[in-house]
Amino acid sequence: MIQHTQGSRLEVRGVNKFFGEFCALKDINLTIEPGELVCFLGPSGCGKTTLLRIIAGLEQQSCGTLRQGDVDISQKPPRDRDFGIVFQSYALFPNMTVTDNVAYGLRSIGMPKARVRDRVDELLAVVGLEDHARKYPAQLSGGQQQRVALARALAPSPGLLLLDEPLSALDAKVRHHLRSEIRSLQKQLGVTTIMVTHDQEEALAMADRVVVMNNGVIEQVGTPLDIYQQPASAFVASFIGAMNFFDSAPVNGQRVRLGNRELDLVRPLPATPDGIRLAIRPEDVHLLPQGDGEWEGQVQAMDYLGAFIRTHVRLHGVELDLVVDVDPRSARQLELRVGGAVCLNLPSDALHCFAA
Amino acid sequence: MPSFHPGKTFMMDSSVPLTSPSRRAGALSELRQRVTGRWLFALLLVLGCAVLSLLVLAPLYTLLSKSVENKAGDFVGLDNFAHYLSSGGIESAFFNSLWVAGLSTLVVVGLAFMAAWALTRTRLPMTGWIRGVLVLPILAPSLLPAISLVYLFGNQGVLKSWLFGAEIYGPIGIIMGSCFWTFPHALMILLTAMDNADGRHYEAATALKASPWRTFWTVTVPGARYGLVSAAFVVFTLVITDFGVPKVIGGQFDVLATDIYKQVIGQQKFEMGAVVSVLLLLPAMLAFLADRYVQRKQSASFTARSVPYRPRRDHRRDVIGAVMLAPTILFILAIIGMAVYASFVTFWPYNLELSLNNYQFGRMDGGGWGAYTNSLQMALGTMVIGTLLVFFNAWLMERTPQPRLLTGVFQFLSLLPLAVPGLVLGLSYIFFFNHPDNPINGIYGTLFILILCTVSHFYAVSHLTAVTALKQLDQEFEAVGESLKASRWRVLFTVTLPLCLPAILDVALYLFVNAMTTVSAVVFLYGHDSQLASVAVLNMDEAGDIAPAAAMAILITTTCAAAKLIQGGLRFWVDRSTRAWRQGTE
Amino acid sequence: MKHLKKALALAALMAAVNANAQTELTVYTAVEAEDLKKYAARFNEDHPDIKINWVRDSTGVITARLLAEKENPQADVVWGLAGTSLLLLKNEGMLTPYAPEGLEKLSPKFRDRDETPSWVGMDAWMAAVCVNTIEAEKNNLPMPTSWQDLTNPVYRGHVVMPNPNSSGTGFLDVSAWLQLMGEDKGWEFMDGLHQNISRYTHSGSKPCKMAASGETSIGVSFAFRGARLKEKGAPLELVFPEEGLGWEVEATAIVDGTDKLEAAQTLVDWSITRQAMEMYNEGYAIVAMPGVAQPVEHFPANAEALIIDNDFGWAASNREAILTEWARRYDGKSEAK
Repeated sequence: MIQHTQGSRLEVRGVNKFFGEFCALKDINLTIEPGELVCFLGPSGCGKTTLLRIIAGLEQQSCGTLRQGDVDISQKPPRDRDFGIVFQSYALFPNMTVTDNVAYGLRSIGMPKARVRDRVDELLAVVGLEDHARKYPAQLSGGQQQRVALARALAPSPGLLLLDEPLSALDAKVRHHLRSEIRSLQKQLGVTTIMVTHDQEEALAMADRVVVMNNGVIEQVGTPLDIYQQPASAFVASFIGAMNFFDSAPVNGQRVRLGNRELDLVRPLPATPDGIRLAIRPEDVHLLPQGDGEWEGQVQAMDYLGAFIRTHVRLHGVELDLVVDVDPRSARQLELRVGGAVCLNLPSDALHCFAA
Repeated sequence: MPSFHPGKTFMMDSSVPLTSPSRRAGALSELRQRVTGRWLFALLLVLGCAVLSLLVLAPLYTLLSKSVENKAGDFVGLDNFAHYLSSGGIESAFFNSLWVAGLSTLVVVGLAFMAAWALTRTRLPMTGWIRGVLVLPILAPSLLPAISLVYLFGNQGVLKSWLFGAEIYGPIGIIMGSCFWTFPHALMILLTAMDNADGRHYEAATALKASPWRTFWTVTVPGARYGLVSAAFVVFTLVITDFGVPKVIGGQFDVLATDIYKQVIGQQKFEMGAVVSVLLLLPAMLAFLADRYVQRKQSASFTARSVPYRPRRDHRRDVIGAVMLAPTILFILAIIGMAVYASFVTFWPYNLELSLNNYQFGRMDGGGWGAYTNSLQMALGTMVIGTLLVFFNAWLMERTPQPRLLTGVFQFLSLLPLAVPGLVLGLSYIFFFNHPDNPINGIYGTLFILILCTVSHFYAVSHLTAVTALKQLDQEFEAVGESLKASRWRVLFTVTLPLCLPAILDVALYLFVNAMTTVSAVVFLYGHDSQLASVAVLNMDEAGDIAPAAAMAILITTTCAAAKLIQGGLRFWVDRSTRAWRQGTE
Repeated sequence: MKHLKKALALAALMAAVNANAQTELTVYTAVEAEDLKKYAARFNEDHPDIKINWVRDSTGVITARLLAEKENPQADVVWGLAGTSLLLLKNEGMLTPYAPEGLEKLSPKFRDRDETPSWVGMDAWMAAVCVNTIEAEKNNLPMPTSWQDLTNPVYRGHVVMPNPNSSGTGFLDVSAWLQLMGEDKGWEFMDGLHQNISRYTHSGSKPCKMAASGETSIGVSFAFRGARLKEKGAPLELVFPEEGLGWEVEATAIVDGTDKLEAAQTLVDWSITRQAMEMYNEGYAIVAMPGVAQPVEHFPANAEALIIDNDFGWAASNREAILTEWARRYDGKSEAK
């Protein structure tokens, strides 16, 4: 029988953080539901780590409040909050065995010896390190160290698990493997989890919801699908996945001008006095046999990326460069080759538009 | 590949207290939390600043403030400075100090760099012993090289002809003596800088077909540049503030440090001594600022992903290494060997019969064995109190949340003693600690004040060592500890201290040997029952008993060497018992 | 068990008696360390109830320490410090005037001129020239007999003397020459001597020590050190130049503010007894009480006649000017020879 823990609900209200004049976080509002895995995603310097550290109490917010469950933790020192944390460096205590590392938090709260032992065994079994219990961190591989760090953070059954770039020090294969392990463990335990990452693929693959941050503000909060399919800003659109952008001018509420053509849009235009930017994902562009499409162009380059071919096309008439992803079969059918002519459509339901 | 076992029963024990949120969360407990959380450490560091102010700043102020007072204690502005600068011969002392310290720095840093290179980039055998010989000078009282240099290069010296008619008394003697005693300081800094080389840089250089010479200039030297700057700063400051060597072997060659001696000891003009001390602080401060400026740009070049460099077997390079080490080793052995010989000679140079009489300290003046036991007590006290104080303060500064301003102030106070000549510190201690209004003037004249003075005198280098060790630890240990409900204190005792044990042993040894050999500050502070062996060496030499002085110096050196061996043994034991967890990390 | 208790009680009692009986005096001194035990032992023969705790260092260091401790003096008595240093302390108001028993028996040269003197003399240490006979022979140097001899160019580079700016002995020589020869002649003499000096040292005993170890042929220093080195086997000849010798009184004084005045006075009383004088005479040819001194080995028999009529007041009041002039003439530039 698996008994789930009660993950905490976390509320962040109006949090700002200044370092001197520099505003690292601006008016952050966020609610994280019990048992959720939320990723803070953004380029380095966007404030995601600062926000994580504020939630942990390792940094003090300049203003704003934090509530974990029913408790206002805004002013509490980290020790009086309820979380486990895993850092990029793991920060395992090198002078202690795996067992002692995992038991560290349990001993802090004065758990009886026998129960500490049981609990450590249990956790090591869960992360698959039973055979390494007596080893020191330096004797383990990076992936194993990562698991120890995770077990150590989870040992006292925290209501909130904070992961600070936990996978970025690992090589690709181990990283992929651990991704799914962490995710399944998290689901199994039901612990509310926040993970900071700059790797969008990681965020999309693991998170229930993604918080995209840039320059100290939250650009968008949503499920990976939302974020990908309906980016709320040009930044999100460009940061998540690949995206083609074109400058354009509005004609009316639903139409825009691109080159000498006008395009109908499904989504309403943003109200903006300036120009707007159209965007479309490479996989949403339809390549068609010559003479079939609305747009004509020439293939400039083709990159074979395994499952698909990234094709660079220059559109005639508007002198726009466009990236199009095509599956190899279609490419064969279309007889794509560098220097060859091609036709394409920009489906209006796939077009995004943002304020310039 | 181990994996999770989702099917396995995973008990979540609900009775584990998740947190201990105070149910009576009143304002009071809120305050308590904040105090124990952050303010406590800031308060403790403020206390640390206060202690250092008491030990260094306040005493210094009592002396240096005399530089703007006349004999009667009235404020006279910069009159003393004007008087001093106009009295002639001063420029020469100032520039003599600068060029002698500068040249000594060049020589020492050059030799130390060659030695460090040979020790870390070749595969010479017996490096343990070589390292042991190279740090010998730090174990010897400063009079020992002076005696040896005279016996080697003086008018009756066995190697007099090597100087081509030049005299050892003067800049040559000062530079040779200074090089001898400052060499280990530079070597230790450079070894630290060069031990942690990243092997990948060398592999890259090899792959790019760089010649060994080019590799040396493009990889080795840049990798050690911060160490070089630090070593240069420390050596320069040590030489420029030292008056022991110039006094004994400098002849009439004037430097600022002996000028203080002339003003204070020769003519009892404290105010002029203070003036020279202030002038002496200037170059030391400039060197300090330059060093800080350069170090600020330093970032860790040796990261967790670096591969420790292991030199390949290369006979040609080993030979070059040996050639680079040989002169330094010979010089050090010659100096120590000559002192050993001197301690057995009946009357140099006219009666070279050897005897053990000079070791009968009971018959000698200057305190004899009593002085030796006093020195031992003082050194042990300095070691214990100093190591605790240094390490605790460094820990507060590095590993607890602190306002930046506070750490800046603390860093300044910690490094200040490096720029203060011992003589100035000693006199300051009289003025400050013997003042009738000072509530703790009772410690004046006791062994305790000698301990305090010595701790302050050697605070800077100990502090730097401790800080370096603490900086190398993962910055998140405390954060992890907090998340696991462990206080910073528990993390300190269970993680930080064990990890820093080697550095702590280093600091302890450093304080011990310096306390055994120091003279310049304590000469003003010992009481009738706290006469010290190092001072006895000076007094015996003063009385013309050169051989017994050499004998006592050798006894001190031997004691320090024994301490070094014990420390080495402890380090070996620590290394062995921690080998398992250091594997792959070092 | 019973025995142990008894023994403990007895020990405690004795400790108490001892504590009551013994007054401890902190005595600062520049007397040679090797003599201190003797001084204390002789004094304790007459006064076993007073224990002397010595703090000894060179004249310069002890004087600097005393002055630095002015606000809160640690010493009860100064026994064996140069008269010039005591004059400094007196001018700072740091000495308690006291007329010890038998004061009238001292030669007037050997006491503070005040009616109740601030210090009383013990003995005189006098200048001397230490000549290394072996080195002198090697270098074909004639034995000098006068100060003037030392300006002879044959001695060029063979003479070492203390720097008067660092050393009391050095100042003693300079002030003696100026008093002996008059200012102009005195400086002229020193100009000549300067040509022959190979170096100036920071310590007064160092020139003699250098002569003893053959580092120089001739060291201008003081007689006591030369005599001691000779006893230890140094090939030295002590020369006492015929023009006259600078000298300095070694003296005793009570430090102002002592809370053991009675014991301090007892010590000062004893320091000028005949017994004490005879004790000083073991190492010094001239002592403060006329008619006591017996000839001392290595010292001239007519020591008393050789010393100049030193005007300490003149020396003290002109010290600053003399040192400045000396530094102007010989300091700094000398190494550029």
